[in-house]
Amino acid sequence: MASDVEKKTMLPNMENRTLMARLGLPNWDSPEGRVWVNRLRDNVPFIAITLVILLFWFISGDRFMSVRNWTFIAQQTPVLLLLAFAQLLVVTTGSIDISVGSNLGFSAYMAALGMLWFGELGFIVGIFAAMLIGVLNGAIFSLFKISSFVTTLAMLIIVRAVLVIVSDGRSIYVSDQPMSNSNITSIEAKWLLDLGQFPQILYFTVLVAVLLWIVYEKTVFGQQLKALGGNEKVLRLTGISVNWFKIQVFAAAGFMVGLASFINLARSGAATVQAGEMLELDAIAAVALGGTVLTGGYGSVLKTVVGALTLTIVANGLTIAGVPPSWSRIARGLLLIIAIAISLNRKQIDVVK
Amino acid sequence: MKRFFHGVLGIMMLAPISFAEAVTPRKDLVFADLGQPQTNPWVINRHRFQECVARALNIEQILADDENSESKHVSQAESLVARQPDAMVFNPLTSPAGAQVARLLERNRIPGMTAGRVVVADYDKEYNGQFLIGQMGTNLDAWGAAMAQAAIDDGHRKIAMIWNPKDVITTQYIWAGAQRVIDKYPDAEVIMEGRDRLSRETGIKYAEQYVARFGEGEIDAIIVLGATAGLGAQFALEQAGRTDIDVITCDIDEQVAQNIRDGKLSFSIGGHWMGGGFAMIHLYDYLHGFPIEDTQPDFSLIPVNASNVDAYERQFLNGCVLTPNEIRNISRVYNPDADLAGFIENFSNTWND
Amino acid sequence: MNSPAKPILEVNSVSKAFGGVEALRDGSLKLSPGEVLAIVGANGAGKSTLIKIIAGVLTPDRGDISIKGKSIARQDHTVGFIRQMGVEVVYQDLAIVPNMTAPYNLFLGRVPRKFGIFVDEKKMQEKTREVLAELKVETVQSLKRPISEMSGGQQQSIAIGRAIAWGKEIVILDEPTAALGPNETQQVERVINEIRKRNTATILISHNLDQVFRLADRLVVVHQGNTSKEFMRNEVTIDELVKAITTG
Ligand SMILES: Nc1ncnc2c1ncn2[C@@H]1O[C@H](COP(=O)(O)OP(=O)(O)OP(=O)(O)O)[C@@H](O)[C@H]1O
Ligand SMILES: [Mg+2]
Repeated sequence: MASDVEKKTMLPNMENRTLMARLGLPNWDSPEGRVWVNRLRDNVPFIAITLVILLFWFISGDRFMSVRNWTFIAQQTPVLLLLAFAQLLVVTTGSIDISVGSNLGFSAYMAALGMLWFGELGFIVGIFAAMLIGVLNGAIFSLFKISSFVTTLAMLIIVRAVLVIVSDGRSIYVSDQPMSNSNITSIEAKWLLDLGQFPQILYFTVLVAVLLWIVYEKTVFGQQLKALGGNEKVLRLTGISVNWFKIQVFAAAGFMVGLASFINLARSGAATVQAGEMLELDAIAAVALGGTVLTGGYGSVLKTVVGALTLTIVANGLTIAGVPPSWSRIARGLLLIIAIAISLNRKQIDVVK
Repeated sequence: MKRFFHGVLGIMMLAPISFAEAVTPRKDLVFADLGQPQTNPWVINRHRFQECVARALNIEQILADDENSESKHVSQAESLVARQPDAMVFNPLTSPAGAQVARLLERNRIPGMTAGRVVVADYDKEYNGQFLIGQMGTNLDAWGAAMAQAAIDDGHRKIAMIWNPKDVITTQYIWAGAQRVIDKYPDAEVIMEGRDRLSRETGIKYAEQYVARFGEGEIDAIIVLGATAGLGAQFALEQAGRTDIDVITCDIDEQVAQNIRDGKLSFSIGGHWMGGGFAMIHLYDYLHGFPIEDTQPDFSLIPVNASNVDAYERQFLNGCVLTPNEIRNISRVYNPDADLAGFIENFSNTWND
Repeated sequence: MNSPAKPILEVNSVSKAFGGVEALRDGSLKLSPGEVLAIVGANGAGKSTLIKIIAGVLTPDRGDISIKGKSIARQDHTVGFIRQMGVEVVYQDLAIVPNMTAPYNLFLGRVPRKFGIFVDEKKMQEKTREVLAELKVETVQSLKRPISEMSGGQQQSIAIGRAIAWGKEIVILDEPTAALGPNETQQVERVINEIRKRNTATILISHNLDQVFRLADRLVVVHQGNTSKEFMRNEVTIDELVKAITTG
């Protein structure tokens, strides 16, 4: 009994500060503490991915940490990453695009059709199709003043339906040799299948990532993205034609979706009706895991890469570790909440909607 | 063109048998059809075969789909009922949704029949209404069992699978059949379960993860539900150079047939989409005053391997499986001696004779 | 009564209604180069509406404005066109983009480019240092951090700095010190006095009458959407002004 009381009276003395001091860390509310916390917050995506890799290495050993598996991870990340890039452009302006998954399915199919019609360079048709969807998104959203969520939700539904109509549910296959069976719609393009494999797929993605980084960090366009997410009204008052800019942003996002669909076509070797279903959610999750706030104004290409990679590694690692599928989903959901909870600076946020 | 040809042929063949009719066939019938969206090859096949039946029997069809949503399943059924069709064929998305559609049919006195999934497990014991005249089912257990048996017969013992999540109840029944067979062989085991929304892309992803997880000799085969994901898995294995792993799948389209012919796939099983057409014939007879004989016929799927793939492709993948004449021949309206129940039961054994 | 110089800005009987609310009725004023004109009035009197019309954000229902003796045609009545004519506004509550840097906010809408698409970061930083020095504003913060990390007075100085840098003819300040503390207000007032030296005309909207008397040459009272009265600063007392604001 007595010792119980003693313990209780001891508790108030064990303040946060002393605990931090004991760990050799500065008090989190002091100036140097705040710098430390901010630095931690900025680096959450990098810390998270390191921990995730170490964890799966520990659990699954060489099965996870093998050249073979990392080759697969390098193949599994690009489509998601390119979609996350599309999402990053839109999210930075404070909007959201949930039509990217449907758009991916649609434009991959259009790319395949383009190649059927016009030969190898016909894949451009897919890129244009994706940009067209982007332009439509942007135009409806900015001119009719319908929120981007609602606009792109409608587009998610419509574009998938258009894909079903255009394709009649039939797949178009990519093959590396002439097809003998005339009932199968297929295009012969070995180079495309090669592009879908390691290492070409990695080179391509790195190139896109570097170019996007330059656009995002160094150009007037990239700067305006963040400004639009920061305060749209001020931009309007300075005479910047915000509507036109929003259309450009969604078109640029559409272009990224076009690249993603092209890579998806290369990697999966076929354009199917279901391609990209639910991928919009993974794309948003990757952006969020990369520490980008969904309310706009801030963002990072590099951290989005880390976010997409983390998401892929976790899905891959959990399967290899033999975690049952439903538990694996719970783990992925929790990871998302924890990572974002740590990386958010709640003092900067007034209202959460 | 082929369809047109079949149609012409049908009209020409109609003449000699028409004097044998028991009753005057109605030519004004309108059937409603409710199912899932055309994002799956088998849904398209279902519609294709139903269209053949509709032509042979002079039925007009109104098609609707439920976008894979329970609530839309019911509301679409209501919209269809508002059009006052003579009968309805529906594939319940889930049993509860199906039960609601059945109640709707009873209230509006419209005869209906399920095709594919069921409303109640045992129609004669559990169903009290009169307008849901029967359930044209698929033998799900036998379906799964056939897939597993094919794997076992090929000498595979270490088996992984790629399936729907557990909340998709019907596919659980299929898996139960597979599991039952695997359990019969003490040396056979399911070494890993992957459950996800099934698409070509998820098929690829899981196959790659299994390849990373299991070295040569640690895995013999992957059983994949549905050809779309199955072809994805097989594509990934091919890309990874793992010819030691076999893919067993279900549904057969031109691409699956080609791969079976090429020896890339050893086995698939299909034809369950014929149920919709058979349900139409049941309802057609019922509307002409013939009571239903077997309220819960089960269609057994057709196993396909290298030995019969050419025949299957010839008969099932081009035009109509049955000629208009053959279709009318299993309706009692045209043929008083027709034995529809027997035909359905034996079709998987007799189709290739 | 007006200054003898040719007016740089004339507002001729402009009106603007929002739905049923007539925010502005026959508002008129003249502005001469180098002059500081204060617009005073109760809350909701129509002051901000008047300057939004001058800035091209709103088009008037009736009436028109002319700048440098040139009447602005209806199709030219846009922010872009009027900004090109050398008119800059610092809006009440809407002066800065908080997540962007001070240089970006200084160059808002006019970011200098390299090779057509790239931001000329170096030029922006140099110019920002120049402007801050000219306005005698001292900062410790890095110019690469978001401006929201600066003090309110520094943020407002950047916004005013932008107006001065490009508002060759007219600088309009809508309640520039409303949100600031005494020291910061002093800093901003000093900046306003710097403008006067450059022969640029200034319109100042303020509820702070002491401040108005400290800074303005002339005062226009807006009452219920009407530019009802006009005074030279040295011809009016504070009590007369208060009466004009409250009763028109
Ligand atoms: N966009 C708008 N839509 C509808 N009414 C408006 C709009 N802008 C202003 N008003 C109305 O017009 C009137 C004048 O508004 P204004 O903003 O010009 O007043 P103000 O003199 O600037 O007031 P304050 O001193 O509070 O800033 C007010 O009644 C206001 O509610
Ligand atoms: Mg105002």
